[in-house]
Amino acid sequence: MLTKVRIGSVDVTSHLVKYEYERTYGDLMSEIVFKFITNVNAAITLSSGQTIEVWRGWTTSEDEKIFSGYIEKYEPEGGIITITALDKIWDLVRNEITKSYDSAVDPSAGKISEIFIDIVTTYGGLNADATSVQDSGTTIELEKFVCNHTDPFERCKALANALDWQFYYRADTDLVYFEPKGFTTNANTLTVGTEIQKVPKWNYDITEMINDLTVVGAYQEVETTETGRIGTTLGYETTGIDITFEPISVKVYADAANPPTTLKTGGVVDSTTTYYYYVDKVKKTIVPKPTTAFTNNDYFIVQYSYAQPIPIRQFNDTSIASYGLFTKTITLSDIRSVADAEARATNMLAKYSTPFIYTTLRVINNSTLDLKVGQQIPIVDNISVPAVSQNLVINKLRINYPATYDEIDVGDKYWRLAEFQSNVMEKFKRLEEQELQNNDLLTNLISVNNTSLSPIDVDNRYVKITTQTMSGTNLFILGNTSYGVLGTNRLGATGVGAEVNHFIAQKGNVYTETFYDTDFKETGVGAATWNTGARTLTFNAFEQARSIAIDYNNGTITTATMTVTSTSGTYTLQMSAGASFQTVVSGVPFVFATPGTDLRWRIYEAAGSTGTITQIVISAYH
Amino acid sequence: MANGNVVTTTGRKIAINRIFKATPDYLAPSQFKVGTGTTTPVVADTGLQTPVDITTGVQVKDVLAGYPSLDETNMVATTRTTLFTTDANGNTLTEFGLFNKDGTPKMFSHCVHTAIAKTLSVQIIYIEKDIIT
Repeated sequence: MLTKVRIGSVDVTSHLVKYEYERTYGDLMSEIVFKFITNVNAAITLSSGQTIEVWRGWTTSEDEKIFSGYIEKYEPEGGIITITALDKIWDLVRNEITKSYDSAVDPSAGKISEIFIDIVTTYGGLNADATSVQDSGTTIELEKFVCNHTDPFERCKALANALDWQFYYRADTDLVYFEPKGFTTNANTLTVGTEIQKVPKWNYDITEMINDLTVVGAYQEVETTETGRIGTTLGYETTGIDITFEPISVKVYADAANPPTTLKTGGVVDSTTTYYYYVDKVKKTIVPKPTTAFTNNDYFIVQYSYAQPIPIRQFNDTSIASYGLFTKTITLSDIRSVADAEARATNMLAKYSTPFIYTTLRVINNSTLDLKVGQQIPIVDNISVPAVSQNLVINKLRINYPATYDEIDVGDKYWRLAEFQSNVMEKFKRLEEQELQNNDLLTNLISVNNTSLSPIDVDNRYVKITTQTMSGTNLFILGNTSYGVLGTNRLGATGVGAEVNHFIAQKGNVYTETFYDTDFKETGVGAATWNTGARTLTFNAFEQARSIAIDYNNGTITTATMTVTSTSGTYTLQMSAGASFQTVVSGVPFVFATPGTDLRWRIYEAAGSTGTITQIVISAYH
Repeated sequence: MANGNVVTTTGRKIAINRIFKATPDYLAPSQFKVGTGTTTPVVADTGLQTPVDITTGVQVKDVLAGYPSLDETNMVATTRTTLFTTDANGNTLTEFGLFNKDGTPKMFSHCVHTAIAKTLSVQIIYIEKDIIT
């Protein structure tokens, strides 16, 4: 492999001993460590912050630019100088941003990708545009994103965490990229024994699993007012007033009149000289200045604000059933609404509720593989047991010079992001715990998912169409040219025919009778009892039950299957397609001797005893 | 042609909207249409395939007074509608659908059935039963 290294405008390749370049999946800066022989100082005076660029190639030394950044430090060690450099993402760390991206006002309108571009270009001084930043869409948006004297790098990480995306700098295009993890796919397949030089050791890990997640977001400041009278109202004493919540800011009115109108001065013990009261936040008490007391019978109004947290809890039933319960609570300080918290919880749960797989691969070094972190690449290992054949994301890439292979860490775990997040989460958690330490107002928002366990379904049961045919002259229908003729038709309705079936069809052509009504009972036939309250069909000795048509004029019926569920009794089961009833066996398809279009059932008690049927299902007739 | 009867996706939208919103966006089904289409009904249907006039220039008619009737024990709604002898004559009817009365009426259910030749001598009664489980 050929290479070229330039510091500033000076080519220092001839002084190079080796380098190791490492780019990590996610959004951390990539780092490169050089070893030069000492005489590089003759070519250029080294200093931290100098630009440094690296190329490698197989035809020329500049086929591919792999690094562009700044010298972080240089360390002489005898005849060797070790230079450590960080890529241009470092510019995001070195700058500062103070801005509030309010979706109602800012041109970014809450779209995360637009906020990212603005932070990187305006406050980081780097390049990013629509070719390198994917459109984050409108499904997950931020109502408000606050950047308060912080570095652009930390804010970019917060945006990436919200979407579970990655960002990184590419030296070959000089652009910052922001995209979903595993966004691009490498068309090459890496096979152990071909492109992969050594049999890898695979890791399956559930230690980072989360399937019961509580997201604690930022707090919202809420104002309240409490009133009372010293010596009368519970908690209102001359020695102090108990309030309900831990206050943030307090205003106290007190005097003998009701309501009190005298605004009292608050202070701090041993700090303020003249004051009437101080606030003990831990005990949630308004306390009179030491050596003084509140006046008995005085009226008090305490107006104060307190912190109301916005937590949300979600869980993944499928993961819990497969792997057991993994519970976690995380604190995200940039959450400002329930909608934000819900979106972040949904995203995290989708990612962490299944096990991670990862390994390190030694890949031959050539110009065709074009390996880049964040790519999905097919990995085939038919040597390990179990075999592996799936797409994995390249989490880390290590390029060494001189060397004939590159190393990549692949998997769907991202330890560094998870570890970073857990470290950050711990920091946030400590900060948030301090802020919310004694806050006893706990709002629990629990997501209850009934869509699989107890869905509500609205469905059709059956349709029945009947007709009445008019005939003769013993009827008069106004407006009817056949039956509304004066002098011919007579008032009355004896010429109106009876209602007869034209069409009956069950939903999905499956008839289920559970006896909660008598819609399909043939009245006047059989003595068996349809108990609509108990939802049973009960028989005494040799009694009969019969239905009306359960499917009528809905196509020719040649076969049907009748399945009867009973708690007791012995029965003769019969069906008719229109001609005559024939005996059938429960659950066994029956072929009618004479096909028809009028399907009915009939049941006899057959043992001279009693019996109870709870359900009849007739299916497979169309 | 295949007969069938379905509650449409629109029908389910009407149901969920009216269950969970204090002020629903959609009206309940209270009128019907008939038609001559023969394509098997599917849940994605939003209208009859070929609706016909019930009275001159009018393709909708109210369900019978007192309907739908609700059985809140068994969660069944029964809708009864009637085509009088003077309605929709001259058509071979094969379709039936329940609709609401939104500005653009939404179809709650769609049924395709065996044909009925509608004449001055025939009165048709449609009985539809729907269930919530």
